[in-house]
Amino acid sequence: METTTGSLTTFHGTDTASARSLLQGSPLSAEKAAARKIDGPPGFFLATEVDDAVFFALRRAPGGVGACYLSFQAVETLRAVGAIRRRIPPGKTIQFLGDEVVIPPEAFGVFNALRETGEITVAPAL
Amino acid sequence: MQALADAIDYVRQRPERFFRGGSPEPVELVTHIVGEVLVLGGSETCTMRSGDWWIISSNVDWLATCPDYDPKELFCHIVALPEAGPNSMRAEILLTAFAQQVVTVSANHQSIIKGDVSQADDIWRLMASRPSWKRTVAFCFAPACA
Repeated sequence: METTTGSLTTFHGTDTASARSLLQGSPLSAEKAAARKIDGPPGFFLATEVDDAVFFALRRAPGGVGACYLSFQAVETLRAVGAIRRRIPPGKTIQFLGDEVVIPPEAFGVFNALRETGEITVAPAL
Repeated sequence: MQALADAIDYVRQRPERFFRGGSPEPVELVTHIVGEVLVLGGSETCTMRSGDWWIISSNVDWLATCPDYDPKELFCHIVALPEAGPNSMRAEILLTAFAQQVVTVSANHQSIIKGDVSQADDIWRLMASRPSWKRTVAFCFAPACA
């Protein structure tokens, strides 16, 4: 993941039920993520551009978008446990604007702990 | 939290995300659909142009391959196409977003997806001229109106 000098604002687009659950503080669950997987590798995905997150929300329409604010410490901590930042892979038919932060399932526990300590906060994006 | 549901408007407002040249092109629409058909198991496809109408047919009813949507719904939703790799999507919604008229015919049913298309319109005769095809989709793309 790229290091930054400040916090990182990211967005997660999903169906409305999952978005509300995230906003209400439910922890990430590898089992639930696997059960709801559409394509690609397992994990929790955060887009750096809200418009890309809207696409992923519409793919599960009716959808919603949550904003995840990661402190510098959260970014560094997640990187140390396997999170990466990369361009969102283009799919057939669609190009994306920005990057994605991929949180692998084995890092979900760290992500959840960072939320509990306030290093990651989540709020409605739209 | 705002509930997002209008996928057609999302696509229509962002042509640069779906077309290499940044604006909708009928040839690229055809290419998207034909590629999808082949990914979904079609072994034969046929494309035909008649004026502003573009027609794509296949020996496989590729619109019947999605368990979560019936064929008409595919034209108004962003639908994942995992067979083509991560983040891929089916292309039918692009027709609804950017073409003026869209129609489809299967072995036993015909549907108007978008626009007013008279039963006397020649497009129906063209689509019925190859009855061996399992599915045909046609769209009218008039650049002056796009």
